[in-house]
Amino acid sequence: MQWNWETVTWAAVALLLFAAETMAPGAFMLWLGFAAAAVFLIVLVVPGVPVLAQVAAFVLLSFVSIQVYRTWFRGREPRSDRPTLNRRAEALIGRVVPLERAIVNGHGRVQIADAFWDVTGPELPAGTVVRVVASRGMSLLVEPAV
Amino acid sequence: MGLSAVLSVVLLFAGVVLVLKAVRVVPQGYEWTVERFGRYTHTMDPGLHFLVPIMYGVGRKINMMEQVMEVPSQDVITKDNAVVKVDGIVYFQVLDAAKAAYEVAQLEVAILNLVMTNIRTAIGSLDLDESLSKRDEINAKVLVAVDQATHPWGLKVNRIELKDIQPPRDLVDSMARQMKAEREKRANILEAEGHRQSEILRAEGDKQAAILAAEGKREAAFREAEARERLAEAEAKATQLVSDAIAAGNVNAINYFVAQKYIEAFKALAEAPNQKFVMMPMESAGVIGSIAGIAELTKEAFDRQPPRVVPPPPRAGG
Repeated sequence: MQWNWETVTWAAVALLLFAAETMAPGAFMLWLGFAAAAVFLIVLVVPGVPVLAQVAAFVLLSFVSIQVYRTWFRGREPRSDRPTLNRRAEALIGRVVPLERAIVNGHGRVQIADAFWDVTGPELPAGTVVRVVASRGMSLLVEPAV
Repeated sequence: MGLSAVLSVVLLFAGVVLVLKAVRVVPQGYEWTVERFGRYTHTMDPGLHFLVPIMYGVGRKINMMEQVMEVPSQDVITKDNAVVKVDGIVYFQVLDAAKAAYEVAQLEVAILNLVMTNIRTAIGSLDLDESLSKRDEINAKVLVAVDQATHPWGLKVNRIELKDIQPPRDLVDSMARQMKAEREKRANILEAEGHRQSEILRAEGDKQAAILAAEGKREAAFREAEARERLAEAEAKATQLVSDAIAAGNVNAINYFVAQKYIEAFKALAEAPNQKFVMMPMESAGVIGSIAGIAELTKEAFDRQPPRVVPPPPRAGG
């Protein structure tokens, strides 16, 4: 266990990468930082590792740390409290509106706010109150609201 | 410091680039399409994503937020051949990033041209007056047409608003003149109406006054007649009383009254300020003679009508 320019360099790189992550949260400096920290530990514990091997380990560990995050932590991310943000059609699911144009051959139209939406569903006359149950691409799936 | 150092630097550079290419963060409000050797495979939603470097790459970065776009001013001819300048504003949002990325080239130019042609169509089917007053209808018409047309591009057009519909200068002037004339006409009519109303009211008042005056006269006449009736009644009664008294007593008693009245009347005539030529029997014999004549007449009248029997007044205590 010795402090030489290699260990100091890797420690500095790791810290700089962590700092860069906090400054510009792009979420990829962090993995490189973890890899640099791991290489620092290796160099610290096992002296005399060639520089090429150190760099190779750094690159490899970067991908490993990403993979570790993907497999272990991805499913535990907190859910967004607004999952329908920027999903205009999905945000309308559950809305109850009158049909502006009758559903003929499976296609009709409703007006929600200022926009007109194509709807698909069972044959219903204009004016029937329907509930949006799903979004199908550019149109909404509706069923009669009881 | 030799081959291994150079290799290390190259390896470090390649490694960092690969990591940066593999880990992609899509910001909220955007969706990025992913291409595998140039062919679209899937869309990345906001958040952290991993792409196998070299094989996969980011294609287009699509803005999923509602966007606003100005429709530049254009000349439009209405149904009655007036040229108006129209500009507007479009709000749209991408619902399907892949379609917006690959189904249409130059998305904004495509939307803009679609909106402009549809505005021309909508206004071209209306008169100038209608196009100025039915803006909401035009908006709705253009919106429905453009919305339908942009569906294949994964777009939702939420709102189209005509900002300004501007008729030519001279037309605006004549419209202003027309409006002024209209107001003046209304003012004149109102004034005439007021005049008429006031004349009617005045006539009505006059009529009412005349009626009331006539009614007053009628009432007065009635009362006067009544008064005269009453007077006559009183005179009749007085005469009755006098004649009764005469019938009961001496006939000559009446001569006293007549003579007194006669002299009074004569005195009044003599004192009257406007001198009149009056022929009167001056000598008392004549006066007495005339009185005697009157007495004769009354006597005759009394003789023809038998004197009424006056019931004796009830005796006090009887």
